[in-house]
Formats: sequence, structure tokens, C-alpha cells
Amino acid sequence: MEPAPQTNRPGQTPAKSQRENPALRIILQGYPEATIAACAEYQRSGDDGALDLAIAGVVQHHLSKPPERPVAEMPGSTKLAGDLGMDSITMVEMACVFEDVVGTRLPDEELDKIVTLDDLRAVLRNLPSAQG
Amino acid sequence: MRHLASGSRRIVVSGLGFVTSIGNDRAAVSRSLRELRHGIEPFEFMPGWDLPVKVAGTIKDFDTRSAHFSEWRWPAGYTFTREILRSLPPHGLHAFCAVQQAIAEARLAPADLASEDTGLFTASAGSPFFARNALNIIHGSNGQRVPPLGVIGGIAGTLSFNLAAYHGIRGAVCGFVSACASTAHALGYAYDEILLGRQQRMIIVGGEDLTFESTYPFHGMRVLSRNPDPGSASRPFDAGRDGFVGTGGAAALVLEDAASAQARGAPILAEMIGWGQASDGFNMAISDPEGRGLASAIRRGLDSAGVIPGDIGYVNAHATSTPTGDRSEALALRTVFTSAGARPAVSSTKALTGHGLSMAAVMEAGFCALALAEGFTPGQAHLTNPDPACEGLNLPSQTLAANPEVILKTSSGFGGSNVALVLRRWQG
Repeated sequence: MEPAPQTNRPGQTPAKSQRENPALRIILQGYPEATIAACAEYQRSGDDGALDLAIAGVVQHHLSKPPERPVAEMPGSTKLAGDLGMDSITMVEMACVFEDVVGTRLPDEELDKIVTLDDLRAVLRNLPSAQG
Repeated sequence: MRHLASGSRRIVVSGLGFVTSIGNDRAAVSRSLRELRHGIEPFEFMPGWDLPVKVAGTIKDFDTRSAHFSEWRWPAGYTFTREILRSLPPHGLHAFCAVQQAIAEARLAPADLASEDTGLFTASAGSPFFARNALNIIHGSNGQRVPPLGVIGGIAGTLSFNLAAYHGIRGAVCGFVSACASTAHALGYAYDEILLGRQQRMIIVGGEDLTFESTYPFHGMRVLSRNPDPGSASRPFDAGRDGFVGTGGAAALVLEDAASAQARGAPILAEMIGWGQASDGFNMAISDPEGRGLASAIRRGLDSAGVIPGDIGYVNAHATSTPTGDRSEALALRTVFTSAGARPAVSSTKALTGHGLSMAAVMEAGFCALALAEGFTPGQAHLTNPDPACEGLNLPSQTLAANPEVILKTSSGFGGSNVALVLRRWQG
């Protein structure tokens, strides 16, 4: 088995032919296949569009009730706590998942900056890589 | 016998819920008790390992073997979302189902639960399985990955945390930790909460994982039966007993002010009329050899209820099928009853269920409420050669149609904590 990709740093995009990180299925156990695929695609490509899909899928999976419209179609100004009802434990749960998908730690001070979907996307896109 | 337990407030059982080795609802449990059908099966605590303990009281129609809840299965009729499941250990899933049954039977609406008038007392040993899975992740990542809910699902108290939050309960909520007497204490103190007018109703819940992590460590003390025969491994009071058979699941009981239950049109299954407790002060694990602490707890329970030994029609014994514990209990019962010329029927339903540890008392108090409501006396299954220590005790080998008026439920836990609960047939 090929080694799992360890980085998502822009400019160091892994080859598309690389397989899905086998650990991803453990981390994302119970998640919809489309979300797992988006996360795997991001790990393969480092593509921001794939990351956005992965973020939307993870957020949607952690909502206590199905949203009226998919998270991917919600405005970036949507507040995770205020609009989507997420509590701080759910935020930490998601942070753990994103850390494994992105491949690096999410510092508490970065987590504290996240209020909206746009904030979440920005923080994850700008994280230093695990190998950085 | 006094007519009322204390003052004018009467305290009744208005709802029961079971996820047990002998049935996952009231009707199935009642049938098992009447027909003395046991729920013990061959069980691999760790697949592939050659362990000396071969059987357990298994929970049917649920599958919680996976470390991840997304692979769990439960019977039709229950709905669980990810938000609920994320912080539940296996016995938490069972407890949610048992509570759902109990509140449905008691006709409690969501607003009745989400109230300062409703409290919740729980007991479980926590979930070493849940904790181990979280710790494996923490160890495997050198402390970098820490599952956020590893503590909530893993520690004793997990049933209180999860159930109180889900139902919005705002009355008294706490947990009890006296090992195998835990839910007996929970019932006793719940009774006091209502008697003192602090709560209208209390939901008492016990649960335990049936897992390698929760159950097999008891083998370290050689208290688990090594008998591989499901039909005879758990045989309380029998001379051939060699230890208890583990079980898990959950049981729930709604205890409330009778007037509150009647105002709602809820069924009244039994009345609780008192309880007592006393300790051995003897050993951290072994019962007092003469059963002195348990005898004292029983006397206190009878006094609290205003009854005498001759009023008791049935004793649902704690007896777990260990050589030492059953002997101690037999001697305690002889001290209280035989010496007073009383001869109530005695049985331990653990012959059928296995030993549910901290959930045992609420499960068995539920059995007592069923016996009072439906009019039967559970027999002593798997008894072929009574221990000589039981001389003079009335251990019926079959369930009797006899309708007991007053039942005593005994419980004992590590450290010599003993509890005696007294229930009576509801007579309005």
C-alpha cells in the first residue's frame, strides 16, 4: 500500500493517482460517502474547491437537524453557533476532524476566530502544513 | 402493618423500562420471569482469546460491539441521531431505550420531564470500553488527538449527563456509586426526595456495558462463573455455584407521588413504602460472613416501611451466585425472617439475567413491581441442591401464582454497602 499523503500545502499537490488515505475512513466513520470523497479529493489535490466541499459536508454532518438547504449553498456569512445552533463541543469535534483531513493541528487561537462559514474556510485554507 | 409509609404522601411506581438479557420490554420480561426463561448464552468477551469465562447474560436485538456508534444497531421503534449517539457508551443506548419505555408507560409528556418537578438518579460503572477507545486514540497520537467526548461517555455519571440533557430535566440529578448496590441507593434516595416534597417524580436508571472491559476484570477476583453451561452457570443459593454471570443493558423506573400519577391517569404498578441501609464495616470486597450488615439494612427497611418480617410475601434477593455472597445473604435472611418465624418466598432472579452490577437493583425492583402488578412470585431458577446455609429458607423452584402483598428487595455492593427496599401491592 502506498503511503498516505501527509500534506495539503498549496504548490505541493500530491499526484492524483495516489489512493485515499486509509485512515480517512476511520476518522470519517459514519459520514456520507460524498463528504468522505470530498475530503479524499482534497487530500489528493490540495484544491480549495474540494476543501470547501469537505467543509460543507463535515458541517452538515454535525448539525443537530437537517438544514433547510445544503450547507454548501448557504451564504458565507452564516454563523455556526448563531444560525446553525452549533455548541462549542461540536466545534471542537469538527476541529478534530478537520485537523485529520488537513493534516495539521488547528491552534486554539485559530479556532476561537471561527464564527461564520467563511471564517472556517479561511482558517483552514491558511493553516501551515503539517510538514511546513 | 401501617397503612401509609409516612404522612399522607404515597410514593408509587408508574413506569418501567427494560433492556435486559431476559427481554427488551415489560411483556417479554414478565414472560421470562413467569416461565423462568434465562437470557444467558455462550459469549466471547474477546473474540479469538481463550478465556476461562464462557457465558454472559446477553442483550438481544442490539449490536453495540463497534467502537463507533455509526455501526451500532437497535430494534425498530427507537430513533437516534448522531447528536445523541456521539456521547453514549453502549449501555447509554440501552438506557435511552429503557427510559423511553418507562416514560411512555407512565404517560409522561416532554413538558413533565423538562421540569423542576422531575429528577433523575442514575448509576453505572461508566464505560471502560468507551474510555479505552478514547485513550487508544490519545496514546496512538502521542496526545495530539483527543476525542472531545471521551470523558462524557466514559466516566460514571454518563447516564445522568446524557439523559438529563436530552430530556431537559431540571430537578435533582445525580449519580450513585456503591457498586452493585448503586441503583438500590438511587431508589432509596429518590423515595426520600419525593417523601420530603422536593420532587414530584424521579426517574431511576441503571445501566452497564457487557464488554470485556467492564465485565471480564471481575475474573481477577475469581468471582465470575467458569461454568460454560448457560443453563446452570448462574445458580444462586445452589451448593454448586461458582461465581456470577455478567450481564449488561439498562433498566428504568419512574417513582412518583401517587397523586401526580393519578392526576395524569398513569398506571400504578406498585407502591414503595420504605427502605433501609447499613454497612458491614468488614472488607473492601467480601461480604460479612454472617450477613450482619445486610440483616441490619433489612431491619431498617422493614421499620421504615412499618412492616414486620411476617408481612413480607417475597424477597427478591441480591444473591449473585458467588459462594461467599450468597451464603452471607442466606444467613442474613435467616437472621431476620427464620428467627421471627416468617417464611417468605425467596429467589434471586440473577439466575435468569446474570448479574447487572450497578443496574441490578433497579432492574430487580422493576421485576418486583411487575410481580405486584401482575400477581406472581418469581421462582428460584437453576436450584437443584440448595446450599446448607439456606436451611429454613423458602426457595420455590418454580414461579408461583401467589400474589405477594409486600416484597423486600435486597442489594449489596463492594465495601459491604447493603440496601433493603420495600414495595407493596397498590391498593388505592
